[in-house]
Amino acid sequence: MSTAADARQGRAEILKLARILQRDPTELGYLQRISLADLRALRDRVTDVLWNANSSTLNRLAAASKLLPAALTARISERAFGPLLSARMAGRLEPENAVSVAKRLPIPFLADLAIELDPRRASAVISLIPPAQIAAITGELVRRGEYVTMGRFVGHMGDAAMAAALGAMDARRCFRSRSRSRTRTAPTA
Amino acid sequence: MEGLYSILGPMRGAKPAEEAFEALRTQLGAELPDGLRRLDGEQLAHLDAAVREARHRQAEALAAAGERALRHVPRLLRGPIRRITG
Repeated sequence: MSTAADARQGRAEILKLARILQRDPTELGYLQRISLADLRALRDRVTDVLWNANSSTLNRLAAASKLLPAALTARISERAFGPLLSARMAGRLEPENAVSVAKRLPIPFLADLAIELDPRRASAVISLIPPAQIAAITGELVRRGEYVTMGRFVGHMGDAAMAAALGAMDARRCFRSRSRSRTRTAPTA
Repeated sequence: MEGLYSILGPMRGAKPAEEAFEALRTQLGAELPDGLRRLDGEQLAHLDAAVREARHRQAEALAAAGERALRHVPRLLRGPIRRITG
C-alpha cells in the first residue's frame, strides 16, 4: 500500500471480503500485503463465485415467489431465508416485486440485508426503493457505524434517494451531537 | 518468515505456495490477481478453505431455508411451489 488512503481502503476491502466469507477480518490480516487493486479483484471474484453458487436453486425460488403475495414473500424472507439468502435472492426477483416485498420488511432486517447485498447485482431494485425507506435504512446503518456498507451503495442510488440518505446521515449526526451536548450540560444528581 | 515457512510448512503438511495458488484458482474458476503470489502456501490454503466453506454454508443454509419456507406457504400452493423449486 503506497499511501495512508490506500491502506485505509485496503482495510475496508479486507473487511468486505471477510463479511462475504463470514470470517473475522483479523483472520485475513495477511491480505494487507496485497495491493488495493488486487484486493478488489479478489473480492469481486469471490463475490461472483458465491453469487453464482446455487444459482439454479435461487432462480427457481425467485420464480416460485411470483405465485405468492408480497406480504407472504416478505414473511418467508424474514423468517425462513434471513438476510444473507434474501440478499442473494434480491437481484433475482422482478425489481417491482422486490421493492413491494421490501416495503413490508422491518428496517433492521433491511439494514442486515444491505450489509450482505452486492449492490451491483440489485441495482435495479435499489433504484426503485422510495427515498423515505432509503433514509430509514441509512439511519439504521449510521446507528450501527456501517459506513463501509453505505459506501458500497453510492453510485447505485438516484438523486432523490442519495439526498434522502445524506439527510438521514446529517439527522443522525445532529441527534448524536445534541445527545452529547445534553450529556455534558446535564446537572449531576 | 517466508523462509521459515518453506521449512516448517511442508513439515506441518501445508501445501506449497504454487499448489495452493492453483487450488485457489480452481476454486474461484478464474485467473487470480498476480499479487496473490506474495502470499505463502498456508495463507493461500486458508483463503481457499474460507471460500470453500462459505460455499458449503450457503448451500446448506439454502436447503434448510427452502424447507422452512414451505411451512409458511398455504397448503394449496405447496404443490405448485414444489413443482417450480424441484
